[in-house]
Amino acid sequence: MSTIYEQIGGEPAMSAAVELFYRKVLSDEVIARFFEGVDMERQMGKQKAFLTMVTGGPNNYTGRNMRDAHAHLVKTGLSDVHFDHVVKHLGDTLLELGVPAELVAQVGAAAESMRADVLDR
Amino acid sequence: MSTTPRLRYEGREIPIEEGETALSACARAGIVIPSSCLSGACQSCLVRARSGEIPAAAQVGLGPAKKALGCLLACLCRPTGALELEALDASSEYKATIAAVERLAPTIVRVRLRMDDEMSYRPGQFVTLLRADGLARAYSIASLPSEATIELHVREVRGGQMSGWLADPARVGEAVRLRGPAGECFFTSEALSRPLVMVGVGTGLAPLWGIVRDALAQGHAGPITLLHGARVIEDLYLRGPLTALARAHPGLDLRLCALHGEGDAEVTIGEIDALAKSTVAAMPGRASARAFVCGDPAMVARLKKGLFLAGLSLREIVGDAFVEGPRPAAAL
Ligand SMILES: Cc1cc2nc3c(=O)[nH]c(=O)nc-3n(C[C@H](O)[C@H](O)[C@H](O)COP(=O)(O)OP(=O)(O)OC[C@H]3O[C@@H](n4cnc5c(N)ncnc54)[C@H](O)[C@@H]3O)c2cc1C
Ligand code: HEM
Repeated sequence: MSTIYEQIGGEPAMSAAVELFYRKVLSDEVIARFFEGVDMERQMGKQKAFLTMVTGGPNNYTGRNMRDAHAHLVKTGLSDVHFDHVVKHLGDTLLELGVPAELVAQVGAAAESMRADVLDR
Repeated sequence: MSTTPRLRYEGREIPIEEGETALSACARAGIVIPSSCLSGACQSCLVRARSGEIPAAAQVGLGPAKKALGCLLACLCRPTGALELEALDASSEYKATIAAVERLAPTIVRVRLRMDDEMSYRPGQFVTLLRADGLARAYSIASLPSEATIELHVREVRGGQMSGWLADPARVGEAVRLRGPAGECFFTSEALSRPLVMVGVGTGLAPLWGIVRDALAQGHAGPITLLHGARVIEDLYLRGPLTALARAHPGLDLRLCALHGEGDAEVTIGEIDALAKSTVAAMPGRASARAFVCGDPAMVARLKKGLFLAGLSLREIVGDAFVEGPRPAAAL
């Protein structure tokens, strides 16, 4: 069975999604502070890792696990509210790119499954 | 798998510790490789590998030609195994003579270099300028290849070794060497009708002065927005020539901006990133625009973010941060 990543359109679709998604995230005052001071190009690579991960794309992510990657953010107040915003931007991005609603829902569920790890609970 | 690092430079065994850069190990061994920014931006410390595995991080930002030659940046090179390096030979350097030093603003000079060796370049790229004693600093090229001399715009940094030296008119006639040219900050003609956005902070205007004239000479037809920002109005050091260029080219929209001073019809008082963001947000066709952003590293980072949020694609935002020293440890 093909992954959501493939159904969405693979790497080229992901590259388009990442800019759209990242622009939404940085423009959102509720969560923007978490991304301050992070180098843009590098952060872009991480956003791509994020999107690839939640859509079941090729798993070449070799970075830290989700708990460790966000632990320092939890210390500065990362909580459910912020998580919800990120998940909403994720869904909006995919819908804007014409991804069918049922696939978007599956991606949302995949993201949801990482909530406890990201929020270090 | 990483093994113990081992380093040779010009055939000599150099003691190196795990995690140490080749530049630092050589310095401890008494070998001075020219260097400046210590963060991979200025390419002053370019060397070549004779053999061994080159860490990927040591080639970040190098073009394919340099990579193919085995060139690498010593300041970012932390060997993970045996690595043998050599200095770039003299054939990769160009001799030049300082032909003119001209003051453009209280702390800014224009330096013209006459090339004794022929060097091909694209306006907007940068060169590493080496003094006879080996002091090396990067400067962007403001001239066009059709001109007789290479033009640099140098801001005199307080206590600055190279900029202070260059700003002295007594330097005319001195011999220097150039390495490079390097960098991706130049005009390319594959999309002549897309909008171009150029933002220069301080002497960050130098590459843009080359790029904008190059684009016009190559028949760029799309709108060009050029913003120059400075601390004070007197530091808008090319105001006259820029205004004349804009008058001659209706497609060129010129915006000048200073942090301090009395504004007028041409000069806005305020932060250049705010001006850039609002200008671009109102620009039709911005999603396909290409942007060039140069100057102070912190402002370049803010400008890139601002232009991205205003709708430009991050891939289309190029430029050089004039890094003057080791970058503060960036968030990982
Ligand atoms: C790719 C690239 C392109 C560049 N292009 C240009 C150009 O076109 N024009 C130009 O003028 N410069 C340019 N630079 C910067 C240039 O390479 C030198 O760093 C600069 O001229 C200062 O060198 P210096 O030897 O005079 O100062 P140094 O002797 O290296 O520094 C003197 C002292 O001043 C401090 N210092 C330097 N700058 C600052 C600052 N901004 N704020 C606070 N302290 C500071 C240093 O830490 C040091 O203590 C470029 C840099 C790069 C990486
Ligand atoms: C399903 C939810 C999420 C996933 C799958 C996810 C995934 C990732 C990944 C893969 C990285 C890169 C880690 C590394 O290699 O260092 C990362 C980093 C990061 N994430 Fe998330 N993330 C999620 C939620 C969030 C939320 C809700 C926020 C904040 C609002 C957030 C903010 C960040 C920041 C700021 C970084 C960079 C950290 C740094 O480099 O200092 N993430 N994330």
